[in-house]
Amino acid sequence: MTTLLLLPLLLAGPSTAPLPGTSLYQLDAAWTDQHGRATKLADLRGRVVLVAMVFTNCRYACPRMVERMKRVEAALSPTERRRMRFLLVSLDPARDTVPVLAAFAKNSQINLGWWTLLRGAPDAVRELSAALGVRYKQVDSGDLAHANLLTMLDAGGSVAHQQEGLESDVNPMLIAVRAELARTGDTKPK
Amino acid sequence: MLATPAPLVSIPPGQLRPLVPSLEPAKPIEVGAFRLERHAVTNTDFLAFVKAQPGWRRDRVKPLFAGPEFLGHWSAPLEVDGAHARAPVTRVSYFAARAYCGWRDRRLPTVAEWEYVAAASASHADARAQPGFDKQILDWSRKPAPEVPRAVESAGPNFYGVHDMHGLVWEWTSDFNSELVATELGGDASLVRNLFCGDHGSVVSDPADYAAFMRVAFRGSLEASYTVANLGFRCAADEDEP
Repeated sequence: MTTLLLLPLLLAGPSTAPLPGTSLYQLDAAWTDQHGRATKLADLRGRVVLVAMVFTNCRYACPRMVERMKRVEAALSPTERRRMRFLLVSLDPARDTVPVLAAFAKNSQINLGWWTLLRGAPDAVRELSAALGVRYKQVDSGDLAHANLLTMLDAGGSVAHQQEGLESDVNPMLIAVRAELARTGDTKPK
Repeated sequence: MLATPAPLVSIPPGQLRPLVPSLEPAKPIEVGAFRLERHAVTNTDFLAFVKAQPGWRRDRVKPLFAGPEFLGHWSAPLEVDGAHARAPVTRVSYFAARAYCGWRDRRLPTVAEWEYVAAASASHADARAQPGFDKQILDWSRKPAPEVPRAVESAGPNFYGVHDMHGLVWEWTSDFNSELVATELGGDASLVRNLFCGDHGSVVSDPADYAAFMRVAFRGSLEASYTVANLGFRCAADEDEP
């Protein structure tokens, strides 16, 4: 009986199995990408995700965070890249509108085949920042002070590796990404 | 006991002196009119929520949303003993506090809103310059937390008619994770210096406001899934809501 009940789940593949209890894909907030398309974090399920929270007006730290992510990207094969998602989530949804995100993507010369920029309601941004452990604050100049935290999510959406700061070696992150790509090699993303 | 939500008290708009100034001269923070619950959410209040949304039972909650001590003081997943009934709920995570307020069609107060109301004594809206105000709060925070916090509203109201902003439990705020620590300021050494170097007296706007600085440090130590024995919450609402 139990086997019969489980059968539809198994046939439907990993994306309908219950999410792990630590998965960030349990956060149900609505997001909009750089094309203006509605999306949820759970849509990333099955991919290995590198995520940073940034804002496009940032002149110093955020471009360097993108560079760090590009260094991981550059070390991967084209096949590996297609199973990844490089995700930039705006801390500043008031100024980071869809066209601003699209322009930032263009100026940063990132490949939208496997990069995504997201904006969401202030409440969704705060919730995600709390879940990732990204501390941030509006400062008097109108800018944002924030943690420079790079996070890798495994295929189920759980935090698998984090690196703080802009100076540290990205190799440990690359190793973690490769390990997860190898572990989930049989599972095709949607 | 009937679990009706705590009444909301209207808080008039005003200004809050920032505790930790940034590089520019410290501008007061404008706090708009809002409403704040008269007392912290009790265990009885929170039990009504868990019964309505069983995903928040301590034996079912997902680890993303709450640590292992979540509601650990309850006698069973859906049972609060008499001693805890009117005490503020503690061992609740940020996510749980947020979800409760959302269920009530309310929200968590911001740090600024919370501090604005917490600056009041029984007689003054901003009592931070009053002799003894700071010391009283510090004396409380130095005392070990009792096994069971006392009931809400067993101490008198403050200037606004709100109870227990001090002397009962610490409280979650919606942007608790806006308290930055030195390593997280993007290598901006001057900002780091402004926040943390030298003696605290030179960076806190009001040196007498050491109790508020302790709350900054406390919030800075929290993660959203933490379930701390003396940390609870209360909800807020916008002024124009029905």
